[in-house]
Amino acid sequence: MIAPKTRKRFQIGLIHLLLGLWLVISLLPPVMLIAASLNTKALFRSPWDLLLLKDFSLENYSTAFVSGEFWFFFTNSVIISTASVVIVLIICVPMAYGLSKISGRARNVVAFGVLAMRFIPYVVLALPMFLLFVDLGLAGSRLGLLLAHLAIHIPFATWMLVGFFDTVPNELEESGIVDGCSAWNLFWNVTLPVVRSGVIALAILVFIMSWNEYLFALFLAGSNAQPLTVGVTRFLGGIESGAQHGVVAAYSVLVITPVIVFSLIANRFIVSGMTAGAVKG
Amino acid sequence: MASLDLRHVGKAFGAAHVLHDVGIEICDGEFVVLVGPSGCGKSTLLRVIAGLEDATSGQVLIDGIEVNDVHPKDRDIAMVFQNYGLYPHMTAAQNMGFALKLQGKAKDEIQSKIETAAQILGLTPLLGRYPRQLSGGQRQRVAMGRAIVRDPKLFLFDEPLSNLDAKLRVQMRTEIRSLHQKLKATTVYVTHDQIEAMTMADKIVAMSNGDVMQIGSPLELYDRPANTFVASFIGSPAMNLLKVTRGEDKLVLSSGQSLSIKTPTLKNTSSELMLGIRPEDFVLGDTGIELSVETVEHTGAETYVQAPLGEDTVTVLLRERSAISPGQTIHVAPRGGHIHLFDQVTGNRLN
Repeated sequence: MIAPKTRKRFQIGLIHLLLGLWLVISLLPPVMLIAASLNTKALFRSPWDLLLLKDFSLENYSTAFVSGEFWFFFTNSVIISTASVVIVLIICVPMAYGLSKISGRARNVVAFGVLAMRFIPYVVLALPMFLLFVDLGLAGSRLGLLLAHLAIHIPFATWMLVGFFDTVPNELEESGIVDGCSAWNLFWNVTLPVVRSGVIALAILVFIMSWNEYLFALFLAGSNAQPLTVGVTRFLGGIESGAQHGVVAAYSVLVITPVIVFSLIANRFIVSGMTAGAVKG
Repeated sequence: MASLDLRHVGKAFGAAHVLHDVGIEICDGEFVVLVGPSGCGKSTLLRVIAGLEDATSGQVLIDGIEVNDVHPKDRDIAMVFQNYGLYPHMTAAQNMGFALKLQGKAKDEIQSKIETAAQILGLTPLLGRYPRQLSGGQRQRVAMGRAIVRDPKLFLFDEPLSNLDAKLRVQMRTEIRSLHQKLKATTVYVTHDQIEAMTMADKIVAMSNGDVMQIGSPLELYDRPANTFVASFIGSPAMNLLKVTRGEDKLVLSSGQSLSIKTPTLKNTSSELMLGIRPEDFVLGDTGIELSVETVEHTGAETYVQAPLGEDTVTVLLRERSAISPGQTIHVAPRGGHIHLFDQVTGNRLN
């Protein structure tokens, strides 16, 4: 007979072992990416050599910055992603608040609209958008790419936000009304603070979606508005020149860093359990 | 402080009429309790007073001025909700001061009012906490504090105690009552609990299906219920209501037994009546109604005896310990004069 205590300890040990394994599996790709970016000749080394930084060099990064025109692509990405987040928040937050206050047909129409948008593969939208944008003189401009992003983000974000606003108990607003809130006060001081965490989470999501977006950028960005996701492809090379995997890795590290930084900053504003204690749950 | 006057107030949601022609006068400083079973329209009436719902017909007057078209924020009322309705992102102090901040009051003034209210409610050490860090009773107190700092014309309470456990409920009942003694604020309090109504009210408004059934002091409603609804709703255990036929100097029960009672001169001549006797108004004796005891319940202080009688069940409440056991036959008679007679059809009081 094994003592229950020993058995319990064994179980916990096993769980930790499995979790550790899982951690290694999940962390391996980014770690390999970083390792590859810090070594020359990334492709022809054994993973072990890469991890031990046998050929440590920052050359890949300098190549990315100099011949990769990193700052040009970076600026495009930052402008488009940031503008997407700002505009989505300005438009969608009030719109969702309004929609959550009404019931019936209008809501259903929006819900269906959002769903319908999700059914369509973006590649189907990309070409018609390109043709439209050529006519409007927007093809190859940041504004055009931004509009394409917004076309996807706005319905999606609005619907997410309606869900958040719906969770705010009615009594909270009624308290506000009795306390003397104007319509604006009610929105700004009572309801919005309660859904703040959701709004921030959504902002992160929209930023990441914009930052990672590739297909529209490929079709619509021309050569003047290309973001980082497209920029990185120039080092994949052709059949003759071959891919510069070290540079691609360095570039990729540079691409994901801002997203991680942005998420970490925004995450600090997410307070979990914000609605707790408002009303009897 | 202010008076409140409801004149012929009606409310309909589409085709559903939830309030019919409600008329209530509430004087300055009165504590009025709206009581009735769920769905009787009492909460809707409170929301009409608050302005959260519009009255479909009739007038709501505060201090003699019609407020039907006045926005709730301009009615100068404070409301305590069943689920507290505290702002989760504000501390207890901020919750209480929010209304004053909206009014543009000076910071010092707000601070001192919050402190005074906190002192009255025993909230001083909790002012810096968020609602999620407070217990149910503390939250309810913050909600009340939020009402007090306003110094409003009217206090409205919407079933404020129904989320609390039994012990806390009794305690808060006393607190609200003593708070009212201190502040002398005109208060309208909604509850479905007739004990709350009886213990707290200066005046009770009993409601059923959107109609006011009776308005009066707690003891008036208890001693002289205007109809069978009030008779059965107020008081626990409920009043026994027995179908009787009126004979000369006696009432014949549905079981065939008869009670020799001198019926007072009655308003109508119908002989089909409803006899109401409170469980505690029975006395044990050798004559009277014969009952075959079905169950006996002891609460310690009192003894409840239940027995079938014709198609009804009679409950008898005895203050003294008794050795009555199920199956036994007993005789009970109403204590002199303590009977209530109602019309069988309309349910209205006759004597």
